[in-house]
Amino acid sequence: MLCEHCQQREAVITISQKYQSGQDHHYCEICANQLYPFTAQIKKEPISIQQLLTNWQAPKERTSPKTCETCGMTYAQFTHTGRFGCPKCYATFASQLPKILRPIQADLQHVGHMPSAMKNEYSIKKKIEELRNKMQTAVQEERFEDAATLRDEARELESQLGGDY
Amino acid sequence: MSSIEEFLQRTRDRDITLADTTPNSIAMSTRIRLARNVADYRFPKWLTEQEELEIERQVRHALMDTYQELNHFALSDIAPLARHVLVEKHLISPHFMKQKSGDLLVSEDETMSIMVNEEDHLRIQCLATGLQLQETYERASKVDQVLEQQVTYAFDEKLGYLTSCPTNVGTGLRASVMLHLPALTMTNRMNIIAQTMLRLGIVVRGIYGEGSNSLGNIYQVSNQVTLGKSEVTILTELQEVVEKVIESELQARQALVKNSALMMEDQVYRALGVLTHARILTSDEAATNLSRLRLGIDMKLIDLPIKAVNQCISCMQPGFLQYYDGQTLPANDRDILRAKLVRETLQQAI
Repeated sequence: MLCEHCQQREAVITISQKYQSGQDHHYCEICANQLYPFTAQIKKEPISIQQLLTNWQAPKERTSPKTCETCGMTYAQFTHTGRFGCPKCYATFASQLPKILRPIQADLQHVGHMPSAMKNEYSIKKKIEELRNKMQTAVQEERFEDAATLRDEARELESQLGGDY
Repeated sequence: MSSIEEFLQRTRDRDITLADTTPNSIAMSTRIRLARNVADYRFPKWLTEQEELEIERQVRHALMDTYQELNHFALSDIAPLARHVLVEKHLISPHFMKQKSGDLLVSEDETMSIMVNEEDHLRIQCLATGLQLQETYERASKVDQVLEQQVTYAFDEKLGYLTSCPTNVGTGLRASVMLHLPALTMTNRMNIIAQTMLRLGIVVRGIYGEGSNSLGNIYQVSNQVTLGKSEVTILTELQEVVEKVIESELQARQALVKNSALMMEDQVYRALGVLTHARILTSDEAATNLSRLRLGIDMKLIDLPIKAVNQCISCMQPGFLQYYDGQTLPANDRDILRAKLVRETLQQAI
């Protein structure tokens, strides 16, 4: 099959669109790289242990759906009223937040007071983040045993938090 | 427990924003507001009646032990005119006034009010006379801490307290100071000052907050940013800006006296003339003249108790006028009644 964009080279990559048309598209490597720059790493080696560990670092962010599952608010409704429907909207429209908040706020990170119940959870999360950073360094320095120990420590802390963290 | 009518009769002469302030007090009052929401509920605008009641019950229950003296009123039980008075006393917001439902908790001395199911589930508000940002914040923060023992707040470690409007997210803190700035207004410097302040993240508004006009040279100066700065930083920055504005106002007053002392004195006494003799007074005219009188007292151009001026400022407001007259009045009749009340109050004081 020929690449549907340049109609010259052999199509080797299939792009499946989940949200818009739902159709599959077939491109050659060059056109795919141009059209979908985020898939630029396609030529890399099969997944190394390094990648495996670094990929584990943080859960993948989901792409922003158009409607809040909790309250049913759409982004269009928000832009119309300037008000969110529920606290979960902030997570739903996370990818839009910088655009909304930057012009009106000093920064995108809260630095003020927090409920005392959250303080404990927050310190555990901070600790996990720290462990992950150390782990990354260990992986880069190829100290894989250390990395594994650090990973176990982080998992232990995560289990304290419970839920889906 | 008493009705809103009884409460407003008891507190008729009470207006925290107009308490007996010391001379030269340009900063009339301080207000701290914290916006909070209960986790796992939609924001008030989208709540069912049942959910609204659940939240109102939760809040009352959480505050019951620590704040036994709080008066509790369901908004639906408050008549339109009484709501108007509450706005003029800064106990509720103009936005809350227009709502169908909601709950109001207010302390007997009117230094603390909590609006439940306004734009956010909770709007904790503390008021004080003069410039007292830190102390007032601490009082509001105490209410917040009592509430969080029993209510789980919608909070995100990255974004802070989650609010219906992204302009409040983070600390949920709006700190404002009411300033009487006649000299800066007369010398046409308020526009420039407002623009400069905006660059520092400080907003200047009219006396009833968002969307209201400045009346009688009274301005509300408050922080704009709620996310990315701590409460301490927000309060310190506002304090610094307010102090600078007060300094500018004092300088402008001195310059006015130096360059046009007689004109100033003339204006003050003309104001007294109008206020003690007019038979029809619009709120604009009353506010402008009362501001001049206040300035005259501050600058010792006239000997009058500031209390009398404060009483006039309080009783000349449309809601107050009509509520204590017991009826809704057309604008013309309000102006006649206003002139009468102001005239009587000032003549007693002279």
